Amino acid sequence: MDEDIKLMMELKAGDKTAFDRLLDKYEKPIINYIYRFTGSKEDAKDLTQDTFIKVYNAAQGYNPSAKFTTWLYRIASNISIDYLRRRKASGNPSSLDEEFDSEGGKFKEQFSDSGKSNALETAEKEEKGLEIEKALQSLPENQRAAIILKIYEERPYNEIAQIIGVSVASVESLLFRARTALRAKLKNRF
Amino acid sequence: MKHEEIKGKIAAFMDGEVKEEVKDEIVHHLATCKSCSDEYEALLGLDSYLKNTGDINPPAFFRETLERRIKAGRERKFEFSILKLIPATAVLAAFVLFASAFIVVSPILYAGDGQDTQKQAVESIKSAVVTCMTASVFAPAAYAAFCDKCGSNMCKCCMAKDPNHKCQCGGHNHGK
Repeated sequence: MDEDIKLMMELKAGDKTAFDRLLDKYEKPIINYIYRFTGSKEDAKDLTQDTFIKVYNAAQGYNPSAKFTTWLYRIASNISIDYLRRRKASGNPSSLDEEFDSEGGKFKEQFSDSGKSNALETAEKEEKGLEIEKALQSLPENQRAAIILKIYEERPYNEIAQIIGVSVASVESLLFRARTALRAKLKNRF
Repeated sequence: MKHEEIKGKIAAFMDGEVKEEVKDEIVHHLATCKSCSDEYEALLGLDSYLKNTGDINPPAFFRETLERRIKAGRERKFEFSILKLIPATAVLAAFVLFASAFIVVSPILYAGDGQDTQKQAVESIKSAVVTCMTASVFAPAAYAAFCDKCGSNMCKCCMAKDPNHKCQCGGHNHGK
């Protein structure tokens, strides 16, 4: 039996330490997946907690019909999509600009205070990271989910297909379109 | 495969998602086609550029907050189920009270204004209430007996008011 499924079965049987072991393994990948999907560092923390609360509450009725990671990423994707829709409905479709401003502010502070050359490097790296995040946010949700799951989470096509609920051929096409769009957005950067 | 087909498969090849025989064909094609080889390099560059972003870490006290939220959720769930029960129980109790009050007063409502009839109705109600009070009002059998007695009182009062009225409650003569 898959080790994660075994941990879920132990949690179902009442062993709370199994939940801690699942958190050890997946809290960081999930927070990063949600962060890249939503573009919000602050909300990614709460949404990651929402994901694990769902996992915990679902343990009693857990039936391993799919791979644990497929199920986990599907929960995280649904929570992120709901969040993005709520954010859009509230008239604040993107929180990246705010973060860009605050990170920029942090950079200025670091640079003027210390005058160290690595402050510039750090700032450049942060700026590059935010540029990538912005490019990711410009993709449609399913393309974004597919590219994040492939590039950062290194999931195979068949698992990505199950997570986002499309066929394997569609995943191939989503990734092709996502890469084409990202190449256009990040032209001359690599 | 034709050149365009191979070009379309380069990303899948890079992701390790093509069959072995196709893989060999692509490797061979990449060695001889500059356009596809450039495409392959560009895609590799894009993936490596995208990967070059730092990960974020769960904040301090992440687990403590999570544990607190799980606990709070469990308590809220319990409160919610109790709260869900309260309105349903209240509605049911109000309905039973209303129905009981109606069947108790119905002999007076229908017995008209003749003094004898009214007196008879009041006596019947008293008798029904006393019958009911001898057993718990929450016991279904006692409540059914109470309703039956009230129905019978109603019929008796209607017959007292109108001698031509036929008994509707199961063939009792009600003293006639």
